[in-house]
Amino acid sequence: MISCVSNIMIKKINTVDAYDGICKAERIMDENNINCIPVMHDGKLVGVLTSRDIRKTHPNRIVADAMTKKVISVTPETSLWKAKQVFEENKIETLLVKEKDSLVGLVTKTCLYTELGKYYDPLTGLYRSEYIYHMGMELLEKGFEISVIFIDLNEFGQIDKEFGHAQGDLILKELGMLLKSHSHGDTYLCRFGGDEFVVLTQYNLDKCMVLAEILLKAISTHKFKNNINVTASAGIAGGRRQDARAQNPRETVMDLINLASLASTKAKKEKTKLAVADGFFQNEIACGSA
Amino acid sequence: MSDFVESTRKAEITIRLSEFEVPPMQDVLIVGRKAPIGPEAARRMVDILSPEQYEIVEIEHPVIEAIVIRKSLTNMITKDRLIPLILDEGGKVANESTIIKAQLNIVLQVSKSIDL
Repeated sequence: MISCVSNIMIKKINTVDAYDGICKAERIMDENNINCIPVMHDGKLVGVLTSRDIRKTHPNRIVADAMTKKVISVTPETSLWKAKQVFEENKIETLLVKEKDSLVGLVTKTCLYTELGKYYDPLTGLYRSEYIYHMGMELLEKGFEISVIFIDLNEFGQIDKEFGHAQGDLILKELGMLLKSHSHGDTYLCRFGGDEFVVLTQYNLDKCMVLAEILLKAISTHKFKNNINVTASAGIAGGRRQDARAQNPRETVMDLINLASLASTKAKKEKTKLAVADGFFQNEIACGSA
Repeated sequence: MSDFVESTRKAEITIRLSEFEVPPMQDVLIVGRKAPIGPEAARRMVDILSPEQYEIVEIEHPVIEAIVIRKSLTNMITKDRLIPLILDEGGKVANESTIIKAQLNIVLQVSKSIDL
Protein backbone atom coordinates (compact mmCIF):
# COMPACT_ATOMS: atom_id res chain seq x y z
CA MET A 1 0.00 0.00 0.00
CA ILE A 2 1.39 3.35 -1.00
CA SER A 3 1.86 5.57 1.97
CA CYS A 4 0.18 8.93 1.82
CA VAL A 5 0.63 12.22 3.58
CA SER A 6 -2.03 11.48 6.22
CA ASN A 7 0.17 8.67 7.58
CA ILE A 8 3.04 10.95 8.44
CA MET A 9 1.53 14.39 8.98
CA ILE A 10 1.69 16.14 12.33
CA LYS A 11 -1.87 16.61 13.50
CA LYS A 12 -1.28 18.73 16.57
CA ILE A 13 -0.48 22.08 15.02
CA ASN A 14 0.51 25.35 16.63
CA THR A 15 -0.88 28.40 14.87
CA VAL A 16 -0.72 32.17 15.26
CA ASP A 17 -3.19 34.86 14.37
CA ALA A 18 -2.43 37.25 11.53
CA TYR A 19 -2.53 40.13 13.99
CA ASP A 20 -0.22 38.55 16.54
CA GLY A 21 3.19 40.10 16.91
CA ILE A 22 6.30 38.60 15.38
CA CYS A 23 7.84 38.19 18.84
CA LYS A 24 4.95 36.00 19.96
CA ALA A 25 5.19 33.85 16.84
CA GLU A 26 8.94 33.56 17.27
CA ARG A 27 8.51 32.47 20.89
CA ILE A 28 5.99 29.77 19.94
CA MET A 29 8.28 28.53 17.19
CA ASP A 30 11.27 28.43 19.55
CA GLU A 31 9.33 26.66 22.30
CA ASN A 32 8.07 24.01 19.89
CA ASN A 33 11.28 23.77 17.90
CA ILE A 34 9.55 24.44 14.59
CA ASN A 35 10.58 26.64 11.70
CA CYS A 36 7.19 27.24 10.17
CA ILE A 37 3.84 28.10 11.67
CA PRO A 38 0.46 28.40 9.94
CA VAL A 39 -1.24 31.80 10.24
CA MET A 40 -4.98 31.88 10.85
CA HIS A 41 -7.49 34.71 10.87
CA ASP A 42 -11.20 34.42 11.51
CA GLY A 43 -10.81 30.65 11.51
CA LYS A 44 -9.27 30.63 8.05
CA LEU A 45 -5.75 29.80 6.98
CA VAL A 46 -4.31 33.02 5.55
CA GLY A 47 -0.60 32.32 5.32
CA VAL A 48 2.47 30.73 6.81
CA LEU A 49 5.25 32.28 8.79
CA THR A 50 8.69 30.75 8.45
CA SER A 51 11.95 31.38 10.27
CA ARG A 52 13.17 32.93 7.04
CA ASP A 53 10.25 35.39 7.03
CA ILE A 54 11.12 36.37 10.59
CA ARG A 55 14.77 36.93 9.74
CA LYS A 56 13.76 39.24 6.91
CA THR A 57 11.38 41.40 8.89
CA HIS A 58 11.33 43.93 11.73
CA PRO A 59 10.51 42.35 15.13
CA ASN A 60 7.90 45.02 15.84
CA ARG A 61 5.70 43.93 12.98
CA ILE A 62 2.52 41.93 13.10
CA VAL A 63 2.51 38.46 11.58
CA ALA A 64 0.33 39.60 8.65
CA ASP A 65 3.13 41.92 7.55
CA ALA A 66 5.79 39.25 7.60
CA MET A 67 4.09 36.01 6.59
CA THR A 68 4.19 34.28 3.24
CA LYS A 69 0.74 34.76 1.82
CA LYS A 70 0.95 32.05 -0.81
CA VAL A 71 -0.03 28.89 1.02
CA ILE A 72 1.14 25.65 -0.54
CA SER A 73 -0.89 22.70 0.61
CA VAL A 74 -1.85 19.16 -0.29
CA THR A 75 -4.70 16.88 0.68
CA PRO A 76 -4.25 14.06 3.23
CA GLU A 77 -4.55 11.51 0.40
CA THR A 78 -1.56 12.91 -1.50
CA SER A 79 1.13 10.29 -1.99
CA LEU A 80 4.56 10.79 -0.46
CA TRP A 81 6.11 10.97 -3.94
CA LYS A 82 3.77 13.73 -4.98
CA ALA A 83 4.48 15.56 -1.71
CA LYS A 84 8.20 15.28 -2.44
CA GLN A 85 7.60 16.81 -5.85
CA VAL A 86 5.68 19.70 -4.27
CA PHE A 87 8.53 20.28 -1.80
CA GLU A 88 11.10 20.35 -4.59
CA GLU A 89 9.10 22.50 -6.99
CA ASN A 90 8.35 25.13 -4.37
CA LYS A 91 11.61 24.91 -2.41
CA ILE A 92 9.77 24.80 0.90
CA GLU A 93 10.55 23.16 4.23
CA THR A 94 7.03 22.55 5.49
CA LEU A 95 3.92 21.51 3.64
CA LEU A 96 0.44 22.19 4.96
CA VAL A 97 -2.26 19.56 4.70
CA LYS A 98 -5.79 20.80 4.03
CA GLU A 99 -9.05 18.96 3.79
CA LYS A 100 -12.13 20.81 2.58
CA ASP A 101 -10.52 24.20 3.29
CA SER A 102 -9.61 23.19 6.84
CA LEU A 103 -6.06 22.84 8.03
CA VAL A 104 -5.67 19.27 9.27
CA GLY A 105 -1.93 18.81 9.55
CA LEU A 106 1.52 19.60 8.32
CA VAL A 107 4.47 17.65 7.01
CA THR A 108 8.07 18.68 7.41
CA LYS A 109 10.63 17.99 4.73
CA THR A 110 12.77 16.03 7.19
CA CYS A 111 9.84 13.83 8.17
CA LEU A 112 8.90 13.17 4.54
CA TYR A 113 12.44 12.33 3.46
CA THR A 114 12.89 10.01 6.45
CA GLU A 115 9.73 8.18 5.42
CA LEU A 116 10.77 8.08 1.78
CA GLY A 117 14.07 6.56 2.88
CA LYS A 118 12.12 3.39 3.59
CA TYR A 119 11.43 3.14 -0.14
CA TYR A 120 15.05 3.60 -1.03
CA ASP A 121 17.52 0.79 -1.57
CA PRO A 122 20.73 1.77 0.22
CA LEU A 123 22.88 -0.71 -1.72
CA THR A 124 22.14 0.53 -5.23
CA GLY A 125 20.93 4.01 -4.43
CA LEU A 126 17.76 3.27 -6.40
CA TYR A 127 14.18 3.36 -5.25
CA ARG A 128 12.32 0.19 -4.37
CA SER A 129 9.36 -1.31 -6.20
CA GLU A 130 6.76 0.89 -4.47
CA TYR A 131 8.16 3.84 -6.41
CA ILE A 132 7.42 2.18 -9.74
CA TYR A 133 3.91 1.29 -8.64
CA HIS A 134 3.27 4.89 -7.72
CA MET A 135 4.77 6.38 -10.87
CA GLY A 136 2.99 3.83 -13.07
CA MET A 137 -0.34 4.62 -11.43
CA GLU A 138 0.25 8.32 -11.81
CA LEU A 139 1.06 8.00 -15.52
CA LEU A 140 -1.99 5.81 -16.11
CA GLU A 141 -4.22 8.23 -14.27
CA LYS A 142 -2.93 11.01 -16.52
CA GLY A 143 -3.85 8.88 -19.53
CA PHE A 144 -0.30 8.03 -20.63
CA GLU A 145 0.62 4.77 -22.24
CA ILE A 146 3.14 2.87 -20.15
CA SER A 147 5.53 0.01 -20.69
CA VAL A 148 7.74 -1.93 -18.33
CA ILE A 149 11.19 -3.44 -18.78
CA PHE A 150 12.00 -6.17 -16.27
CA ILE A 151 15.73 -6.86 -16.10
CA ASP A 152 16.97 -10.02 -14.43
CA LEU A 153 20.64 -10.92 -14.13
CA ASN A 154 21.69 -14.28 -15.54
CA GLU A 155 23.23 -16.78 -13.15
CA PHE A 156 23.60 -14.21 -10.39
CA GLY A 157 23.33 -16.96 -7.77
CA GLN A 158 26.35 -18.58 -9.38
CA ILE A 159 28.31 -15.30 -9.14
CA ASP A 160 27.46 -15.16 -5.42
CA LYS A 161 28.64 -18.74 -4.95
CA GLU A 162 31.79 -18.35 -7.00
CA PHE A 163 32.95 -14.88 -5.90
CA GLY A 164 31.10 -14.39 -2.62
CA HIS A 165 28.10 -12.35 -1.61
CA ALA A 166 30.14 -9.22 -0.95
CA GLN A 167 31.31 -9.24 -4.57
CA GLY A 168 27.73 -9.89 -5.61
CA ASP A 169 26.65 -6.79 -3.72
CA LEU A 170 29.33 -4.72 -5.44
CA ILE A 171 28.06 -5.89 -8.81
CA LEU A 172 24.50 -4.92 -7.90
CA LYS A 173 25.73 -1.51 -6.81
CA GLU A 174 27.68 -1.03 -10.04
CA LEU A 175 24.72 -2.27 -12.03
CA GLY A 176 22.43 0.24 -10.32
CA MET A 177 24.72 3.09 -11.37
CA LEU A 178 25.06 1.68 -14.87
CA LEU A 179 21.30 1.41 -15.40
CA LYS A 180 20.78 4.86 -13.97
CA SER A 181 23.32 6.38 -16.33
CA HIS A 182 21.81 4.66 -19.39
CA SER A 183 18.15 5.21 -18.54
CA HIS A 184 16.49 8.21 -20.10
CA GLY A 185 15.36 11.20 -18.06
CA ASP A 186 11.70 10.43 -18.71
CA THR A 187 11.88 6.87 -17.40
CA TYR A 188 11.68 5.51 -13.85
CA LEU A 189 14.05 2.93 -12.46
CA CYS A 190 13.97 0.77 -9.35
CA ARG A 191 15.62 -2.26 -7.83
CA PHE A 192 12.66 -4.59 -7.77
CA GLY A 193 14.17 -7.45 -5.86
CA GLY A 194 17.53 -9.18 -5.33
CA ASP A 195 19.05 -9.05 -8.82
CA GLU A 196 15.99 -7.71 -10.59
CA PHE A 197 15.50 -4.19 -11.82
CA VAL A 198 12.47 -2.53 -13.39
CA VAL A 199 12.37 0.40 -15.77
CA LEU A 200 9.01 2.09 -16.27
CA THR A 201 8.56 4.13 -19.43
CA GLN A 202 5.91 6.09 -21.28
CA TYR A 203 7.16 4.58 -24.53
CA ASN A 204 5.39 2.44 -27.08
CA LEU A 205 6.62 -1.09 -27.54
CA ASP A 206 9.15 -0.30 -30.28
CA LYS A 207 10.80 2.54 -28.37
CA CYS A 208 10.76 0.48 -25.20
CA MET A 209 12.53 -2.38 -27.00
CA VAL A 210 15.22 0.04 -28.20
CA LEU A 211 15.82 1.18 -24.62
CA ALA A 212 15.88 -2.41 -23.34
CA GLU A 213 18.49 -3.33 -25.94
CA ILE A 214 20.60 -0.31 -24.94
CA LEU A 215 20.45 -1.36 -21.29
CA LEU A 216 21.26 -5.02 -22.01
CA LYS A 217 24.17 -3.98 -24.20
CA ALA A 218 25.43 -1.61 -21.52
CA ILE A 219 25.41 -4.49 -19.02
CA SER A 220 27.08 -7.02 -21.28
CA THR A 221 29.82 -4.63 -22.42
CA HIS A 222 30.53 -3.08 -19.02
CA LYS A 223 33.68 -4.21 -17.26
CA PHE A 224 32.54 -5.11 -13.77
CA LYS A 225 34.94 -5.27 -10.84
CA ASN A 226 37.33 -8.23 -10.93
CA ASN A 227 36.30 -8.74 -14.56
CA ILE A 228 33.29 -10.74 -13.52
CA ASN A 229 31.19 -11.48 -16.54
CA VAL A 230 27.65 -10.21 -16.02
CA THR A 231 24.77 -10.59 -18.45
CA ALA A 232 21.07 -10.05 -18.10
CA SER A 233 17.77 -10.98 -19.66
CA ALA A 234 14.88 -8.62 -20.04
CA GLY A 235 11.17 -8.88 -20.52
CA ILE A 236 8.90 -6.15 -21.80
CA ALA A 237 5.20 -5.63 -21.24
CA GLY A 238 2.88 -2.86 -22.29
CA GLY A 239 3.38 -0.10 -24.81
CA ARG A 240 0.61 -1.33 -27.09
CA ARG A 241 -2.42 0.46 -25.80
CA GLN A 242 -5.50 0.41 -27.94
CA ASP A 243 -8.44 1.06 -25.67
CA ALA A 244 -9.08 2.55 -22.29
CA ARG A 245 -9.44 0.02 -19.52
CA ALA A 246 -11.62 -0.27 -16.50
CA GLN A 247 -9.08 -2.03 -14.28
CA ASN A 248 -7.67 0.06 -11.47
CA PRO A 249 -4.23 1.57 -12.15
CA ARG A 250 -2.41 -0.31 -9.40
CA GLU A 251 -3.61 -3.66 -10.71
CA THR A 252 -2.59 -2.63 -14.21
CA VAL A 253 0.94 -1.79 -13.12
CA MET A 254 1.11 -5.02 -11.13
CA ASP A 255 -0.03 -7.03 -14.15
CA LEU A 256 2.47 -5.35 -16.43
CA ILE A 257 5.37 -5.98 -14.05
CA ASN A 258 4.26 -9.57 -13.68
CA LEU A 259 4.02 -10.09 -17.43
CA ALA A 260 7.40 -8.45 -17.97
CA SER A 261 8.98 -10.67 -15.31
CA LEU A 262 7.52 -13.78 -16.95
CA ALA A 263 8.85 -12.56 -20.30
CA SER A 264 12.32 -12.10 -18.81
CA THR A 265 12.20 -15.68 -17.49
CA LYS A 266 11.22 -16.81 -20.97
CA ALA A 267 14.10 -14.83 -22.49
CA LYS A 268 16.49 -16.40 -20.00
CA LYS A 269 15.28 -19.92 -20.76
CA GLU A 270 15.36 -19.42 -24.49
CA LYS A 271 18.63 -17.46 -24.32
CA THR A 272 17.18 -14.66 -26.43
CA LYS A 273 18.16 -11.84 -24.02
CA LEU A 274 14.92 -9.98 -24.66
CA ALA A 275 11.33 -11.16 -24.83
CA VAL A 276 8.05 -9.32 -25.18
CA ALA A 277 5.16 -10.49 -23.05
CA ASP A 278 2.18 -11.95 -24.83
CA GLY A 279 -1.12 -11.62 -23.11
CA PHE A 280 -4.40 -9.92 -23.03
CA PHE A 281 -3.17 -7.02 -20.97
CA GLN A 282 -1.05 -5.43 -23.63
CA ASN A 283 -4.06 -4.32 -25.56
CA GLU A 284 -5.56 -2.42 -22.72
CA ILE A 285 -3.08 -0.79 -20.46
CA ALA A 286 -4.52 2.65 -20.13
CA CYS A 287 -7.20 3.76 -17.85
CA GLY A 288 -9.44 6.77 -17.73
CA SER A 289 -10.62 8.57 -20.79
CA ALA A 290 -7.54 8.28 -23.00
CA MET B 1 31.64 61.20 52.89
CA SER B 2 30.50 63.48 50.05
CA ASP B 3 32.77 66.28 48.76
CA PHE B 4 29.69 68.48 48.07
CA VAL B 5 28.58 70.83 50.75
CA GLU B 6 25.19 71.36 49.22
CA SER B 7 23.33 69.38 46.56
CA THR B 8 19.82 69.61 45.09
CA ARG B 9 17.89 67.42 42.64
CA LYS B 10 15.31 68.95 40.38
CA ALA B 11 13.10 67.77 37.58
CA GLU B 12 11.95 70.06 34.83
CA ILE B 13 8.68 69.27 33.16
CA THR B 14 7.73 70.62 29.78
CA ILE B 15 4.29 70.12 28.37
CA ARG B 16 3.50 70.62 24.71
CA LEU B 17 -0.11 70.47 23.73
CA SER B 18 -1.31 70.14 20.21
CA GLU B 19 -4.31 68.72 18.46
CA PHE B 20 -4.21 65.02 17.63
CA GLU B 21 -4.24 64.51 13.92
CA VAL B 22 -6.94 62.15 12.79
CA PRO B 23 -5.65 60.04 11.31
CA PRO B 24 -2.08 60.48 12.56
CA MET B 25 -0.88 60.08 9.01
CA GLN B 26 -1.63 62.47 6.21
CA ASP B 27 -2.15 61.54 2.62
CA VAL B 28 0.47 58.91 1.96
CA LEU B 29 2.67 56.53 3.94
CA ILE B 30 5.68 55.03 2.22
CA VAL B 31 6.50 51.78 4.04
CA GLY B 32 10.03 50.39 3.86
CA ARG B 33 10.59 46.63 3.54
CA LYS B 34 12.03 46.37 7.03
CA ALA B 35 10.03 49.16 8.64
CA PRO B 36 8.80 48.54 12.19
CA ILE B 37 5.21 48.80 10.98
CA GLY B 38 4.21 46.88 7.91
CA PRO B 39 1.49 47.85 5.42
CA GLU B 40 -1.14 45.59 6.99
CA ALA B 41 -0.58 47.09 10.42
CA ALA B 42 -0.73 50.59 8.93
CA ARG B 43 -3.96 49.75 7.13
CA ARG B 44 -5.42 48.32 10.31
CA MET B 45 -4.44 51.45 12.22
CA VAL B 46 -5.98 53.87 9.73
CA ASP B 47 -9.00 51.66 9.19
CA ILE B 48 -9.86 51.90 12.84
CA LEU B 49 -9.35 55.65 12.94
CA SER B 50 -10.62 56.51 9.48
CA PRO B 51 -12.57 53.54 8.11
CA GLU B 52 -12.33 52.84 4.38
CA GLN B 53 -10.41 55.99 3.59
CA TYR B 54 -7.04 54.46 2.79
CA GLU B 55 -5.83 51.62 0.63
CA ILE B 56 -2.59 49.68 0.45
CA VAL B 57 -0.74 49.46 -2.82
CA GLU B 58 1.97 46.80 -2.77
CA ILE B 59 5.05 47.89 -4.68
CA GLU B 60 7.79 46.10 -6.59
CA HIS B 61 10.70 48.16 -5.33
CA PRO B 62 14.05 47.29 -3.75
CA VAL B 63 13.40 49.18 -0.49
CA ILE B 64 9.74 50.16 -0.48
CA GLU B 65 7.23 47.46 0.37
CA ALA B 66 3.97 49.34 0.01
CA ILE B 67 2.29 52.69 -0.20
CA VAL B 68 -0.74 53.43 1.95
CA ILE B 69 -2.65 56.15 0.17
CA ARG B 70 -5.79 58.13 0.80
CA LYS B 71 -8.51 56.85 -1.53
CA SER B 72 -9.76 60.34 -2.34
CA LEU B 73 -6.45 61.02 -4.08
CA THR B 74 -6.67 58.01 -6.31
CA ASN B 75 -10.20 59.02 -7.17
CA MET B 76 -8.79 62.23 -8.63
CA ILE B 77 -5.78 60.74 -10.36
CA THR B 78 -5.39 57.05 -11.14
CA LYS B 79 -2.97 54.93 -9.14
CA ASP B 80 -0.99 54.12 -12.29
CA ARG B 81 -0.15 57.81 -12.68
CA LEU B 82 0.18 58.72 -9.03
CA ILE B 83 2.25 55.86 -7.61
CA PRO B 84 5.24 56.27 -9.99
CA LEU B 85 5.28 59.94 -9.07
CA ILE B 86 5.33 59.18 -5.33
CA LEU B 87 7.96 56.49 -5.81
CA ASP B 88 10.10 58.79 -7.86
CA GLU B 89 10.32 61.36 -5.11
CA GLY B 90 9.79 59.09 -2.08
CA GLY B 91 12.38 56.59 -3.30
CA LYS B 92 15.05 59.26 -2.94
CA VAL B 93 14.47 59.68 0.78
CA ALA B 94 13.05 56.33 1.88
CA ASN B 95 15.12 53.38 2.94
CA GLU B 96 14.29 49.83 4.02
CA SER B 97 13.65 50.64 7.65
CA THR B 98 11.77 53.92 7.34
CA ILE B 99 8.16 54.89 7.13
CA ILE B 100 7.79 58.19 5.33
CA LYS B 101 4.73 60.33 5.81
CA ALA B 102 3.89 62.41 2.78
CA GLN B 103 1.48 65.21 2.16
CA LEU B 104 0.11 65.39 -1.31
CA ASN B 105 -2.09 68.14 -2.64
CA ILE B 106 -3.80 67.77 -5.94
CA VAL B 107 -5.22 70.87 -7.54
CA LEU B 108 -7.08 70.28 -10.74
CA GLN B 109 -6.99 73.20 -13.08
CA VAL B 110 -9.75 73.22 -15.60
CA SER B 111 -10.17 75.83 -18.20
CA LYS B 112 -12.87 75.64 -20.78
CA SER B 113 -13.97 77.97 -23.47
CA ILE B 114 -17.24 78.15 -25.27
CA ASP B 115 -18.29 79.72 -28.51
CA LEU B 116 -20.23 82.92 -28.09
